[in-house]
Amino acid sequence: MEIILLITLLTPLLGAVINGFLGTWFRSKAHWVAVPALGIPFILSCYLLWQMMGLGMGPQEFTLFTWIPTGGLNIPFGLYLDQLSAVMAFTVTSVSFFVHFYSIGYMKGDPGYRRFFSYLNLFVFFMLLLVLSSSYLLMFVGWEGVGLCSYLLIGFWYEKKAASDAGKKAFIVNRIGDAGFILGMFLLFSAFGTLRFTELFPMIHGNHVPEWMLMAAALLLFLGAVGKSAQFPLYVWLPDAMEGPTPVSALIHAATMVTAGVYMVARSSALYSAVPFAGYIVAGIGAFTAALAASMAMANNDIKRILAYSTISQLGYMFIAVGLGAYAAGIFHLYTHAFFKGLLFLAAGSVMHAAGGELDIQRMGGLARKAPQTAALFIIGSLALSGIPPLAGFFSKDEILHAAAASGYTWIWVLGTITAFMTAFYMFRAVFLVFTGKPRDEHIYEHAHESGWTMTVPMWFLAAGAVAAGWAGPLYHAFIAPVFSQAHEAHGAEVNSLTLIIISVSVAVLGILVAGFMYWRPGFRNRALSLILRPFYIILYRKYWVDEIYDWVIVKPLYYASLYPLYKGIDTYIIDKGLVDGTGWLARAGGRLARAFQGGNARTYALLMLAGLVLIFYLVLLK
Amino acid sequence: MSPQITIGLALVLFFIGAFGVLFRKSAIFTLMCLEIMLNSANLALIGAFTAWGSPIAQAAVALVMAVAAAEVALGLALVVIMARHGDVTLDAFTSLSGHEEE
Amino acid sequence: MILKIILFWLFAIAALAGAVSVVIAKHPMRAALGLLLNFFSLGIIYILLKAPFLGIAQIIVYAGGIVVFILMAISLLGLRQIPGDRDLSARGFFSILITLAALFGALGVLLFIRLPANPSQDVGAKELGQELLGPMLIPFEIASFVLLVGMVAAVALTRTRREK
Repeated sequence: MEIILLITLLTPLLGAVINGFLGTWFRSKAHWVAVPALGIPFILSCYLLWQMMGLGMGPQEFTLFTWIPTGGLNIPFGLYLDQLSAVMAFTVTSVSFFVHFYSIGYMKGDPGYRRFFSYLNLFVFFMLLLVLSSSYLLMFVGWEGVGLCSYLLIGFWYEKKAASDAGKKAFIVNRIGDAGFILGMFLLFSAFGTLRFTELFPMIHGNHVPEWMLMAAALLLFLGAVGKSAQFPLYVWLPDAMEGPTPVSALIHAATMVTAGVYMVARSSALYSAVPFAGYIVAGIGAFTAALAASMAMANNDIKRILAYSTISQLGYMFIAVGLGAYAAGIFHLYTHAFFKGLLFLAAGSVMHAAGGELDIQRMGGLARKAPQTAALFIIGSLALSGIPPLAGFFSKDEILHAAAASGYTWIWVLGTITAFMTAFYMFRAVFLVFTGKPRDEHIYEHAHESGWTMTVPMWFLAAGAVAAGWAGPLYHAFIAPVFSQAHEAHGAEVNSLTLIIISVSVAVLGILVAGFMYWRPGFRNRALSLILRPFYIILYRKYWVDEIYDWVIVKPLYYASLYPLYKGIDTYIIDKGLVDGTGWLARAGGRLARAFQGGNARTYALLMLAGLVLIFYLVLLK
Repeated sequence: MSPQITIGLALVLFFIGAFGVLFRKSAIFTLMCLEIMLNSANLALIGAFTAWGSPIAQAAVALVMAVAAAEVALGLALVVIMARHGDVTLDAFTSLSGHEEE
Repeated sequence: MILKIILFWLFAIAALAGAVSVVIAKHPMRAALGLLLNFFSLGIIYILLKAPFLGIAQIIVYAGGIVVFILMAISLLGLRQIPGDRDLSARGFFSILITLAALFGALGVLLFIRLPANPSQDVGAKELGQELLGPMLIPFEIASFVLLVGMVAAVALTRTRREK
């Protein structure tokens, strides 16, 4: 079992190393390395899942070696396999596998073909390390590793300024969160003296550690999750991250990496259950982010950014669930979301492919006739995301809304429901604008075409997941229950499940109808309504000016503080003119002085030696 | 013939040699003056022998003689090289690079 | 005893005269002869100071070997008087000052040191040999090694390379 786990973990790394260092041998054949390097872990993680599910294997911890052996700090390099990490590993490897497959077609002919696959494999390695690690510290290694790969892949087309800027933005914004994660780890270590899950979590309950400390640790760890999972206020990097190649957006910025924060909170369920108020904050931020991001998605015209905001919003849902103690529901949504959001991104990539790299949905239209498969897939994904039964999104989203309603925090449920409406609206706004109606740009329409089989086949697989993943609900819940046996859900109100289902489905249908009403073929044109909606549209279109506010409040002051006192003042005068030039001047002056003595003339040396001798004699005499 | 006198004589000889090293430019003179300095050091050792009577001082003189012989052999070899270059004054050799300069 | 003292001063003056003539001689050949005088006088002084073996060795090695060596080099290379060999510039003057300063400094230091006077026996070849091959064995061997290195180096330095 240990061997299987190790192979699962290390094969992607091997693939990354082979492609990274020996890739010039493969060139356009890099996928012959990269795809099997993902296929093997995919099969093995299926096997692991089957072992645990079918054969009832319990949680297992494998300590491979002691990573950091010092006096008080003993960090083993260990892997931990339980139901939660098995589900995560399965989700990660399956989506990764299909995305890799898809990339063969999508990235064809790119000059960085092998580099792309190398990064992607490396990403999967770090992601698996993140979900399979047995301690916070090792998890942090994976956490930083996926952050690195994310940075590399967002800036994959680094010749493009926007792409490299977006990479930097993602990296820097994530740093804020990571600092929180590190501090949280330190706090946990100082309180408990260990970072291993199996040692740490049993200690939390009935321990003498003061509650404020647990609270602070929980919130600091959540800060890390906020950065990594793009929650308010650190979500700004994710929409810009769409500058990366679409498979990257699908894999990293929709299905896997951004869900790491959710996984981390779920993994720390023992901690968050011990301090319910921290959980409440998590859920509150999740709900707020969900609504905020969904509203911004409604007015965006960039197909990938719509999906990015949608991802932020769905991650908000997941945080609602894990914050309220419904960890299983949160992870379930993570799992279904990986499929349909991965599918949506791949379909969006396929649309871009068809439209010759165009991203603006206002310039598309009628593409369903040219790319019927893509259209069908996109619509399946949209339905799943909107929560229309019996597709995957319905089950998981419904569970979350149920948990929110049952928690007694009605406002969270209300926000969640409004978000559900907005989700359906923006998705079908995109669907109608892209696939139906008259082509708004003849040139794009003329050249539109369906994508090749390497792209459509993986999408169909993901579509199958998007349709059917939700049906595994009862099985999944029975399976994962032991992990969260200690956790207790927030409970404050009795709710009728059926009523909730009817409400959530009807708001979703309503959203679709409104979208259809406004964007279906002839297009909805009502002057009065447009005038009323215009200010809202502008607010949303400008994304609440959040980027501008950050720019004015944080970036500009820092920039000017750096420019004038630091750069023009301290750097130019003290460091450059004073220290740097001064060092040179000192060396030159010293050289001038020394040159007088070091002329290479032996007799001069002898004279100086003698002078030194005189000095010594007279020092001795005077003493 | 007290040790003081012997060592004083050695000192005078030493500084005559040292002055020669500073005063003369050609290498062969420098070499000879160095020999005087070495001998004065030997004389100082003998002076120390008369003071303390330890035969180690004399053994040290024997060793200095051996080293001085080596030094003369090397020094004369250098003078031969300098003569090949056509100039035997020390001031003409201010670089260790071995390449012809200037 | 008094004879010894007279001889000592005589040869001390001879040694000083030899040394001075080395420094001020115009022609290298004369300087070499001054050096010979210096070495020879020192050899006698050694014998007077109860170091008969060293005195003999001094005369053989220095006066007989090294001086001949230098003389040979001078005549072989045809070294002759070089105009401006003696540094009569300000710098030469400065060297006189510095040398005198050093000399008086050293003599001053010497005045402050009280040295014992230990009447001792002659140290002949036997005692010296026991000393050299006993406690001083390692320095002795090192000195022989230095001699070897010096010999090899002298050969290597003066070797003329044949261009192919």
